[in-house]
Amino acid sequence: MKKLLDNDLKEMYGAFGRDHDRLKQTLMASLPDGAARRGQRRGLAHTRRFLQGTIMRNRITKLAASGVMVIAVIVCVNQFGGSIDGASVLYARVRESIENKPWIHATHTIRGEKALCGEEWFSFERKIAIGIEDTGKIQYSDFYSQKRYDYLPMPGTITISQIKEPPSFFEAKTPIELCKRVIELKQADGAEFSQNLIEQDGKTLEIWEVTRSEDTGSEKIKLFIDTEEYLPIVAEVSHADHTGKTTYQGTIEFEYPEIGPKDIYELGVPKDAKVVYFKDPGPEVINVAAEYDKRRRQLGDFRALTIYTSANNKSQFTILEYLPSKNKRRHTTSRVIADYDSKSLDELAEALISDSWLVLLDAKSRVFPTEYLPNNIVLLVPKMVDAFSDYYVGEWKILTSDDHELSNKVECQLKRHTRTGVYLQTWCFDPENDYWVSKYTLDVLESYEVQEDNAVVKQQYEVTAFDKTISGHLYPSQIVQQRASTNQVVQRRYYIYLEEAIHAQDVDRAFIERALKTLLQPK
Amino acid sequence: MTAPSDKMLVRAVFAGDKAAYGKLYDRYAPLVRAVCYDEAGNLADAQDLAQDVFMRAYENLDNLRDPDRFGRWLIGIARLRCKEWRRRSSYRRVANVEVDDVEPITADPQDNGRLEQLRRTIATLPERERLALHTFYLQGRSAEDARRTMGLSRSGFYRALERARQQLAALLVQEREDSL
Repeated sequence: MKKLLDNDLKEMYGAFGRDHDRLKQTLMASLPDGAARRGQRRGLAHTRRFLQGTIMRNRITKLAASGVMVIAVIVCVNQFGGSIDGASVLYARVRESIENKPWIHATHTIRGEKALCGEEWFSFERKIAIGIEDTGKIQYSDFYSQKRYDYLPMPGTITISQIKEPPSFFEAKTPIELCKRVIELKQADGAEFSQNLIEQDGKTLEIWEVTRSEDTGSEKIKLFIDTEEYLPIVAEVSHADHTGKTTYQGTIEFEYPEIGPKDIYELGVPKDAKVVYFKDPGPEVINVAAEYDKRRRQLGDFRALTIYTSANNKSQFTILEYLPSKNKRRHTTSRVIADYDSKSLDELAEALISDSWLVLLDAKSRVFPTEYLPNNIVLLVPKMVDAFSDYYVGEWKILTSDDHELSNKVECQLKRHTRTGVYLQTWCFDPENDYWVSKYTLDVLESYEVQEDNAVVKQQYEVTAFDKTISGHLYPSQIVQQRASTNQVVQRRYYIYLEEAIHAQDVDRAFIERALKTLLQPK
Repeated sequence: MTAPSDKMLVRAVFAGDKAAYGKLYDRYAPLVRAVCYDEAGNLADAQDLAQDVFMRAYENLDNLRDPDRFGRWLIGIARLRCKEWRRRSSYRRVANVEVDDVEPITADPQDNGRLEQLRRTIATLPERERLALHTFYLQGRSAEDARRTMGLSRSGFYRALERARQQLAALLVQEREDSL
């Protein structure tokens, strides 16, 4: 029976080869010339967009620390202008050589203050980007399936999330718009590009240099390119502080292997690592956040002075400028004044203005949202929309909603898994008070760090009073912060004075006096 | 001389070598026709569907992430194309549109009834077993190539093949008994 069946099967399957030559001829005649090749070129556009996004998400201080970033600069350099001719034959060849390599493997060794080692894998062909840190953290981005896999050795989880398009960081809706924003940003940062030719060991090497400076120092990337293969060989990176002292320097070496890691497990991730799936915020969450963001922006540029008093009677005064009109940059500075209630308003104002405090306000802390944001102003800025960045990927949901009317309180919740633990953040919007966040909580559901006895397990900020600016805009004027740790609860009260920065002036004495008068007057 | 790998052929296609795609066609067309036959139930439709599959694969070759897995990718396209075909066929039957276009499932005149019965019986097997048979008998190169096309381990492939043969034999015996 078995032999008979085998013969029958062979005979039967022979029928599927019938008319093969004729069918092949028909197919070959109808194939468009070079269609597949053209398709392959189209596929690169997406990866380039990713690189532009990568540059945007990593500000100057992080630029040099990765091979992917250097590749990003090469592939996107013509977006920035500068003296490297983006239309030159050499540039085009270098770019093509990189894009046509099955895999790019970069290893970086940075010494100094930002000492770190790591490696990156990149494939335009497969639309894969991988970053491996010396801590064991691995980020594997598959742009074909639009999925990102983040492996954290502690607690041993792989989180799978959806890759977002290069972000709405500046509300860019299209890649072209995004590029324009990047150019504006880079030009504002004073990026300079240059190129030179050198002879070394009988070989001609092209050197591309990217130099950028900001208040805290300057950074340089020097890229050596083999002019025969049209491929980057090595990059030297260095950063110096504003005094010229080198803070870190290092090298990034490039190789171009034929075969790369096919998945995250080939990079050493244990097969039994727990997999966690993250969901993007749904449209309802985005709508609420957008509404909130819109309301906040209606306020325009503003400045605020806040006071909080701690148990030891030392008060911290913070001045904040929030300027959405200038790429969301904000300036903050804080000062501690002991026994403030024993001082007169004049003395307090004098104390705040002394020691070039206001000059410092202008010079330091030019940071982007979500970085170094003082806790006491967490409710004052549209932070939740910023939280849609990749860093805040997690499980979003609306807890309560009276759908379209938004007449009741709306709560948005985000559960995040990070390398330090699992956190639950909740924003409660108050439509009755112009959509300000009236309550914000951060619960530490699980911590992977070594905990002290007094570790914070929950933080809550609640607005207890609203006030109006001179122009009549509502704002939260009193916030109660509650920090609950494993064995105690600490409460702080913040008092806030806020006014629109209608006149584009720096914070001045008159503002401080107005603010102090309002905040310290007996209620 | 060893035959060029799928990866080499795919790269050659990207480099503008259309003849390389012809070699991939030679390698996989019978298998794709067999997969399409499982759905269509007649050879003429299976041949047409297979032509569509190869055309679609060529146009979307840039979406192929791993050229070594060209065969598996192609079978995936074939399944998708067959589903579309089935949806349209059922629509045409339901809407009574151009009923004449729908070919009845009949034996190919060049077949004898025994082979047609065999083909139909194979179509009733579970997908994995069916595909194991197709790849084993139609991937003329080796069992290794067949198991790669299916994305199975060597033992997994042989197990699927053995199960397919056993189930097929049992079904054929059953059908013969029923016809008596």
